[in-house]
Amino acid sequence: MKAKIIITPKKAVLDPQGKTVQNALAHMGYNEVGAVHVGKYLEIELTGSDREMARKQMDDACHKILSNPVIEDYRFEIELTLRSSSSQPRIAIRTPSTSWAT
Amino acid sequence: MGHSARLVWHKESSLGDVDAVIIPGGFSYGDYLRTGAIARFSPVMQAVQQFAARGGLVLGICNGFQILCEAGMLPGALIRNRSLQFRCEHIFLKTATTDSPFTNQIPSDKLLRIPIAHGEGCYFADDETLSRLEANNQILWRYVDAAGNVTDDANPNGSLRNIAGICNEKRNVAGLMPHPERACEEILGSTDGKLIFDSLCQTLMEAERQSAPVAA
Repeated sequence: MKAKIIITPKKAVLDPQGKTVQNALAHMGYNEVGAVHVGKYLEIELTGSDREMARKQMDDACHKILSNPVIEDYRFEIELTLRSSSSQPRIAIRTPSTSWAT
Repeated sequence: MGHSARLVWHKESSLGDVDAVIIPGGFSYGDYLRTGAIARFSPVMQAVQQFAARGGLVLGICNGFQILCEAGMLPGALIRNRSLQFRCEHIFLKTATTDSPFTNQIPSDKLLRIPIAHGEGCYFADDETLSRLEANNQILWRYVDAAGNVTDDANPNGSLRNIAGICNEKRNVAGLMPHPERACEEILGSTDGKLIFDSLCQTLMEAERQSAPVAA
């Protein structure tokens, strides 16, 4: 499983990076660009298999250390990754039996 | 200053028998994730929090201030300077209140000329917190110009209300972005910073005289 976490500055917080990027885009001619907010993206590989447990853990981690609730908001999703393991359902592929005319 | 000090490594789990703790500046953990975000979980920080809970005096300077905010020992947070520049220069501080263990020896009309050196020194807190800080007299120092006026030009990093340093409600934990320890000797260009340490020492010596332990 993989946690994909997006951390963004709260709306009330001054975002000079965002403003600078907005100005840069305007100078480059992208004239229908409004406010820009620069945040953070984290990918965390999770070795467990309990999705609900992973969600709770990541929520806790986001709140405790990965984000600062005073100045940041966060959202995340837990993505199942394709990986062969005994806990994953095995997909059986049946091929039609072919009889060749001899 | 005639007192003894010892260095405590961040991995130590005990402070030993100290009267005050100073968390210095630096770039702990490379400022990765957020400044002070990882250092605030260092083993020694549990001891620091317990020390503060018992009334012990704690002063955070620069990265130390950032760590105290991340640890929730002081309200608010420090974010990137609004100029996006690392500012390394002398600034002036006006002491907002002499009613604290960190400011009681500073003459109320004296401006402190102290250097700053930071890229993330912009103090932020929501309106409710800012109002509470003002109401409780928790703002210790503000950035001012040479004439003592709180102006936008005198603000080197965009800190809300020109806040340079604050203390907690119990007034035993404080933090500031400027470096008073770099303004303690004539050869460094200013000795104004020494007044902050004088205040700390005065508070502790008075507490000793009254035999009222500051830290249990």
